[in-house]
Amino acid sequence: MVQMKTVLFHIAVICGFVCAVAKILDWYNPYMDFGGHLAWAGMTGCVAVFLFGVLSISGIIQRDLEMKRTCHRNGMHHHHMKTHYHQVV
Amino acid sequence: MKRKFIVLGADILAAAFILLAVWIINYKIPQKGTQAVPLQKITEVQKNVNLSSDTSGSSLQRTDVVMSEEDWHQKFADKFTDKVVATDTSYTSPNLSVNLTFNSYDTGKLDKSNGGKHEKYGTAISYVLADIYVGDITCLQTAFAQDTYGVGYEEKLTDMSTRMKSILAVNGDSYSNNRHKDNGTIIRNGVIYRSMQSDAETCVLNWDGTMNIYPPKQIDVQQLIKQGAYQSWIFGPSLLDENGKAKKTFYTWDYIRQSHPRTAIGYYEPGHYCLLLVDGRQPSSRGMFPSEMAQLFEQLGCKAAYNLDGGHCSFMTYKAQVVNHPYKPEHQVSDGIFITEGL
Repeated sequence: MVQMKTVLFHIAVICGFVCAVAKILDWYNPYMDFGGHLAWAGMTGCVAVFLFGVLSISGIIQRDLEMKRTCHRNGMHHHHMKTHYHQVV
Repeated sequence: MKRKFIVLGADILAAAFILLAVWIINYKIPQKGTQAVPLQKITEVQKNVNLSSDTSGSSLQRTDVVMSEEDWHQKFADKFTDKVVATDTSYTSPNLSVNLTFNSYDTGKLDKSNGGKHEKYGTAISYVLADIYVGDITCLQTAFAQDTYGVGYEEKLTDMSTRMKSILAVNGDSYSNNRHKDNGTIIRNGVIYRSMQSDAETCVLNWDGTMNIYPPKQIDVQQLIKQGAYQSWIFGPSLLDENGKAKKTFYTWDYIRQSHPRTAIGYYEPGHYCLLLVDGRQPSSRGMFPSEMAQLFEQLGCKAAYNLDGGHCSFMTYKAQVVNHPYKPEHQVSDGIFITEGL
């Protein structure tokens, strides 16, 4: 999961940089249409960011669930544990 | 922290590699090449016939040859000479008159656009103006680099000038750099190589010597075939209004509105044209704004004028020698306009 997120992060950075440079080049001559020829990079970047977001949210939910289970086992209310966790962090 | 920077650097390198690969594959590697149809073949056949290209097997349509009823040899008899008379700045023959004027002046105006990047070039401008009379429309020809229509074909203008045996030549509109989906209609020497709408203004020179400039998305190819379109260029903007007055606003993008080296074509009347080459990006000449070019063409008395590709593509050759002062060594171009002795 962490490895997957790292790969997606790098794909997003690379695609973002590629799209930004295409935008600059098209400012000099829009008819060169670098943006059009690199449209796939924009799409790939969007998909990478989306998947990165999904994985991040699912990770947060999973951690929350694990925290709830831990609290349940220790007999604490999970939001006390959460507050305690944030204070520690 | 150091590792993070190294990783970021690797990402940027990967992005640069992708950009380089896309540029080389889509813009630099010659592709979709079609052998140019020689002008001689076109004049031999009848109107509106589909020609089959000998080398590519593709069928290229040509436009109707609607020639001017006026005899330009008579009309401009005082401009032509019985024999070839050539000097360093002029050339006259029974078919042709070319007169070069070298001019420079100080505008007193700095280009402060683009964050002041052009200010270092100062306020001076130098240009070469070629006044041209032709006895026949075929004295004004165009050619593609390597004699091939397509993407990624480039050749030095001096080499093309030698091949075309031209008296005078300038770069064209760099049609192959236009990779936009609406990349316009390309007609060269009466042959239609591309038939698309365009977001740019299109300049059309007809077989009868007249010139029309069409607004974006106003091109009707069937109409161009019927009216006898001989050449078309897609770059722009057009510089004069329908009354020959300098335009105040120009249909182009911000970068082109700055001062740059320029190449432009002007039209006085059928058979009488001018080609303008403005040096730029150097202290002796910063280049022209479109408005300055428009003023110049208005003063010259042109009825229409159209900007072609500029920047490091702006070159003019006279007898296959570069006569302007480009800011970089000679650069390869996609196409050119050639003033020749005709067919």
